[in-house]
Parts: sequence; structure tokens; C-alpha cells
Amino acid sequence: MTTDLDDITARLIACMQAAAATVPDEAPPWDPAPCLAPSPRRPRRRHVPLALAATAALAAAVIAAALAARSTPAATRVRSALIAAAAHTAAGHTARLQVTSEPVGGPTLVATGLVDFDTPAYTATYPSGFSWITIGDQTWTTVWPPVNRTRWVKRQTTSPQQWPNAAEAELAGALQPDTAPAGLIAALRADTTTFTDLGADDIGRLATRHYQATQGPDWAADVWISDGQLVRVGVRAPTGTVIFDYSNYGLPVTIQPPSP
Amino acid sequence: MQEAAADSGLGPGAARGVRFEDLYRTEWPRLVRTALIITGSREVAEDVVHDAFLRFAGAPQPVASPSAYLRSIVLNLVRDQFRHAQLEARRLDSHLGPWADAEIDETWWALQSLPQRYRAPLALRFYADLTVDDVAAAVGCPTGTAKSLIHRGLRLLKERLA
Repeated sequence: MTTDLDDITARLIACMQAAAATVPDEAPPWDPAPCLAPSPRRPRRRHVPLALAATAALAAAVIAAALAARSTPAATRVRSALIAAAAHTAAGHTARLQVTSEPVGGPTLVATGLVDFDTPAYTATYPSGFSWITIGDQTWTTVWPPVNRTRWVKRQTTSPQQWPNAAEAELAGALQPDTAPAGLIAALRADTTTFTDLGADDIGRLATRHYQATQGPDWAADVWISDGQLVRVGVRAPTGTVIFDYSNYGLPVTIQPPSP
Repeated sequence: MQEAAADSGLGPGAARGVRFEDLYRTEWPRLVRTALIITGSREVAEDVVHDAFLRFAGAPQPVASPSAYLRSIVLNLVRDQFRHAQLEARRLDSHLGPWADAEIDETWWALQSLPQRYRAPLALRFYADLTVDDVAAAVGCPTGTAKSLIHRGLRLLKERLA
């Protein structure tokens, strides 16, 4: 009796045999030194995407605003500067984007792309070729690993298991529009617990001023401003850090859904 | 036997009940091939199998079924290592392929795009030629679950190759 899976089974067996044939019959000489890094024994990670943590912190900041009546004049000045810079950035409409994700216990991942603050929309690509497009609340990524040609699939960014690995899932989650300047402005307008001016800090050859807004012990936004423009935003949460570097404001950007 | 263990550098517990070198010679290719199909990376597969032999050597001997025992260590190590983000990145970097044969290439990438929980049962059933009962024992789940993973894995594969 044949089933509709017989063909695929035969194809799978042929593929597995081809892969197996790449391994020689002869084992290499025995070497008793271990190869693998020790198995992870770290505490269980909280499966909270960075975006969720950041969003929760932003929401908490809004609530805190109603309670915050103790802002010092210095804090108020810093807050005003940050709001102005974030607003200025959003007014740039578009920018080149680099996202550096540093999940706790995971590798640092860097993606580059473009952002359209108005829509909002992002597109970004890893050095490995894995790419995504986010337009509003819709996200598409390339199929990974690639099957002969680049194929795009629509994703639910809230389903981390659909991503190539946990770090990329968190990075994708962190790229929700909430963490764009508009979200930051909302948080800053609402006030946060503390504002700190950390002074001059160069990013590459660019002279910037570094500010930090914190909300409780677990969340902080680091902001670097140059000429009144946000050039870097870092959001730190218990699950890790995501750093957004913006440059080339106002460059022509068109982000569209991928071709089917 | 003890002499073989000493030569291997594995210590006195390594060779009780089984001659380690023979086991290493006969099982290494089979285990690396199975691990390669599951991980997609020859480099990762060899490392996993190597460390499986190290663990085997350190386990209380004799072992009733050394082959099955080694296989279960390999599967556990693969599962552990898949949780290790750095190894996952290395696995992607050292992935086998592309293949000259387009059909094999497409099938290989489709297989590797399946979640790991499907790849292991598929490799054990269709490459290692285990029965469904043995697949269940190897991956540590009930027979019905193993059957379902194999069936679902094939369905997913078919969808991805459509």
C-alpha cells in the first residue's frame, strides 16, 4: 500500500544517504581531550522577549508619571533634551539602522538595515543572509536555512520557535515599533524614575552626549545625542540589551512587503 | 582490555565489558552520520560523537547495549547543544552543502529547516533504520509520540518542498 508520504520518504532517505556518504568509514585516531564546551547549566532564562520587557517598562513609566511629582530642575532639563532629540529623530522620517542584540548568555548579533519612522517599518539583514521586513505589526523573514532560492514567509513575531535561534527571536521581538523614537518619546514625556547626564562620549569619531533614563532596577534606556539628534539608543532589560544605531537621516527609504 | 583502556587514555573504567577501540571504530561512522543528519554540520556532529565516547568511557560498565547507550548520549548532547546559542551559530556556519544534485540540496535544506524535535526521529527511523519502538526509546518518549513526530516531520517536509 502506498501513501502520499511514500515519495517524500524515498526522497528523504536518498538525501540522508547522500549526507552519510560524506562521512568516511574510518574513525580518526582517538583523542581523549573533550571537544565541546561544557553543557549549559546556567539558570533558566526568562522567556520574555526584550520588546515585551521594554514595553512593560514603558507602560510602567506612563503609570509612574502620575506619581512622579518630584522631578528636580536638572532632571527636567535632561528630560526636555531627550524628548527634543527623540522628536527631532522621528522628524527625520527615515534612517539607516544597525541593531546590535546582546541576549543574556547568547552571542552578540548585528543586523543592518533601514527604518521608516512614520509607518513605522524596518528592514534588516544579518551577515548570514537571514533577513526580515517589519511593516506596522506585520513581519516577514526569509526561510532559514535557504532552500535553493530566497523565500519569504510571514511570521508571528510573538512565536520565538519560528526563528532560527532564540537570540534572533529576541532581536526580532525587540524590533517592534515600541522601541522606535516615538515609543521613547512617550516614555520620556511620561517621565521615568531618574535621568542622568553621563557626559561626553564619542561614538567612533562622532562627539555625542550620553544620557540615561532608568525605570526601576531592571530597565534602562541609554541615549546618545549629537547635534540634537539621537544617534544611538540602547535598551537594557533582564533578558539582555538591544542597541539601535541610527545614521543617514532622511535618506530615501521604501519598505514594501516582499514579493510572493 | 585494561591495556586498551590505558592506551586510549580513558582510565580503568573504560574497557570493562567492551573493548573500547572496537566500539569506537565500529560506532563512530554510524553515530557521526546520524548526528550529521540531525545537526546539519559535520564539525558539530564529530564533536558531539567524540564527547559521547568520553561520557561512555566515564559511565559505569558494563553497559548492556553499548550501541544504544552511545546513541542516547549523542541525542542528549545534540539536544543540550542545540540550547547553546553559540553552538547553534557554529552549526549554521559550518552547515553541510550546497549539493550538486538539486533535489538532494532542496531536501537537505528543507530537512534542516525542521525543528530539531522532528529531525532526530526522522534520522533514527529512516537513516539508522530503527523501529518506531526503538526511536521512542532513543528519544525518550512514548511510542505514539515517536510515531506522531515521524509522521508530522514527513508532513512538514512535504509542505516545505511543495
